[in-house]
Amino acid sequence: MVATSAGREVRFAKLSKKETVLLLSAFDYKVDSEGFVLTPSGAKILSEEIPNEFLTLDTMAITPGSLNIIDGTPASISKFICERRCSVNGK
Amino acid sequence: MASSVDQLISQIKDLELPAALAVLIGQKVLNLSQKGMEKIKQLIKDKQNEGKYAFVPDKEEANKLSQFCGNPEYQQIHQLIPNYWGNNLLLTGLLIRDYQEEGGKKNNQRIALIKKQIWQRPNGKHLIKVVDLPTTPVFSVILGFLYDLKTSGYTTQRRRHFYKLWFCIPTGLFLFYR
Repeated sequence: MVATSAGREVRFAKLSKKETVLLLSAFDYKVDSEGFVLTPSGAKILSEEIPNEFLTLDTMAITPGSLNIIDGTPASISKFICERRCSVNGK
Repeated sequence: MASSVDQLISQIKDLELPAALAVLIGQKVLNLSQKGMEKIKQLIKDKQNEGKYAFVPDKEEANKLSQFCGNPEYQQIHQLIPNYWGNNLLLTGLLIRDYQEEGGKKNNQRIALIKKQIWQRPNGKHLIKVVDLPTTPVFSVILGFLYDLKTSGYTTQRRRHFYKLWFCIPTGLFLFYR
């Protein structure tokens, strides 16, 4: 529940699997039987962190704004925090 | 169906997104791409588009990372080497340092997993050096060195050059520094 910058506060939250699937379905994303997240066109989402791995419900994060799915690793979340902080500070 | 949809909308329209999703799940709504769910789907999309929440696997960990933005060492490096690509990894390094200080089997396992994930990335060996930096005493030495360069009139570009050199030094040599 901590802001990454003044003015545009973002709160971190954890959703249950069912809630995540429901949110994804609002944007026509799906989850297959193995837990992989599928885009509206049915494609798996490639991890930007780990080569040749696809994002699953357990390994993904959803950043604010229109649905944007990223890796849920600390390194990826650190990157999101830094980018947001810089964009808000105008750096 | 229409009335139940309208009832659901009235239940969730004033709620924050996580609470709205919880209510819908409680009402056995599990998929918004079905026919008849268009209004609720749009409402949920609108709430997501407000951009108030980031949904992460571990809320506490994400909050810690966010708090490390206020860490004096992190802020100092941000000022001394602005917009350096590796700065975001220092937040992860500060998280690892925090876990190390707390200790315990669970934290050690978490550290091992975080490092494994970074190691697997392209150029992982180099990235690990950046992540490890805040966990070593050398970090404060580097900060002092970069600060001295700044006060001596070195440009950001030159400071960045010296900073990058640190990561070319074999890790083992850090142990003998000082």
